[in-house]
Amino acid sequence: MLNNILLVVFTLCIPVILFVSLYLFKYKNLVKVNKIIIIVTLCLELLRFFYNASFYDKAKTPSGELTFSFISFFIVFALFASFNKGKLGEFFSRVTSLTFLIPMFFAIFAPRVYLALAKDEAGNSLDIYQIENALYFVESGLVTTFGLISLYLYKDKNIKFHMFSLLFSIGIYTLYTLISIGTKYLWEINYDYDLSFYLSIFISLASIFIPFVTLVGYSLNKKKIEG
Amino acid sequence: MKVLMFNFKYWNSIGVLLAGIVITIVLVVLGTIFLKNKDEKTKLLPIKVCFYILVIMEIAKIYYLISRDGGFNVNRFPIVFCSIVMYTYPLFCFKNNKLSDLAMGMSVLPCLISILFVFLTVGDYDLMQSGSFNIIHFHSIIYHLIMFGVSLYLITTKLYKFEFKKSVGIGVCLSLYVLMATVITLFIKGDISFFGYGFNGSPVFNFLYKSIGYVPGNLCIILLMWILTFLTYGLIALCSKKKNKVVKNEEIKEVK
Repeated sequence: MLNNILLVVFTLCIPVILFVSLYLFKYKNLVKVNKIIIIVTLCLELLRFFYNASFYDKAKTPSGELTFSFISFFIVFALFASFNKGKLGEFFSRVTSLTFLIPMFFAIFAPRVYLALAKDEAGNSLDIYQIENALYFVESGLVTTFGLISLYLYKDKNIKFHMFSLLFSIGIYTLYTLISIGTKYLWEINYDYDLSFYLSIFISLASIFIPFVTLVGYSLNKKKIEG
Repeated sequence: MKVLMFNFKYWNSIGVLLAGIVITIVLVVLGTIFLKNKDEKTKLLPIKVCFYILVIMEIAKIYYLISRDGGFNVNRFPIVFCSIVMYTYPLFCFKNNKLSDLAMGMSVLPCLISILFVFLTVGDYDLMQSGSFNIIHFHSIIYHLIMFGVSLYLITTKLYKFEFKKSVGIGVCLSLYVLMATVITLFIKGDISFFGYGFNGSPVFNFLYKSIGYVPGNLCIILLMWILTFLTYGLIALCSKKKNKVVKNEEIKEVK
């Protein structure tokens, strides 16, 4: 419970701190800011992955213990969105502008994405300093900042554009879910497909609609003012 | 006796600290009054003197610890939070440069907060430990009082002007410090300042570390520092904006 509260707190506070800082310094090159944010997030994710892997004498990859949560995929999409100037970059840019809340909502209902599963013989977690938790909290905040900036950059597009972005985002998330379920089925024996598993999927899917509704609402409001 | 987090176990230390705070405030007020109409260079002179005193005290402490313990622990290097002033004072009191304003900022709000932490732990300092005078605890109290005095002095003489924009630099420096302390603590498995794992002198942080973990606990401390910095600088900026508005309105009325 405390971990979930911290996750939400960091996810909301990190963007606020960064935006206040950008506002005070009147820095307007948001594309560059996004590039820096995603590179930092990539470094943190690599650190988190290798830190988790260090708990295992013989890391079995792929394995449910070395989890690739949605945040890892989001970082890859965001790298394409930031550095690819072609159609692929635009496609992933649309996806990241709507899916940035998934890492937070997914983790609330499926904490195993950020809690180190490795335990010693007595059943105590090997991550005694909770480093994995901390890294995930910061990554979630940075990913949300990235998504909000992408959202801001797309705010002036028309509703048709946003509808297609929604379809792309749902498609990508569905693909991720199928891959995730597939790996669990093939490599994890006795995985607990309980209520929290299904809730994490559906609520994460629903979280795509939050930025979508914001963009559509803004477009309609803008039309009303201009009309 | 323990009241919330304050441990009033050893009244000799608390008495010395309280007397020291009163004397420091009197000295700061006197300094502000006597140097009111002097130029910036003259106003910085007391801070230069304080810097030299702190350096001499620190060298003396290191020499004493080596001779007492026969060695020098890594966590006794001057990298604790309160040693920041030994690096920030020379950046603004000798020659003006790009980092002067930031260094001055780091010598104000963070140092005022540090005196609060001294209050949290001073109850555990017994100045007359085992019947003999504990020079290290006394050194710590005097050191922190000097820091507190310089912070107040920078505000009262208006050498440091609070601007909301400056809060970002302070927040970044504080965050980097806590991250550095966290990494070093994890490597040496010891305590760096109040951010050490297992340190018993700071009940607030220990409670945080036990509830949510060491690294998430330090991240929460970073977040709280940002909030505190933004709130302090924001409120001061808001008050000075209102004050300027009132002054402007009065001037317009006079002209009319």
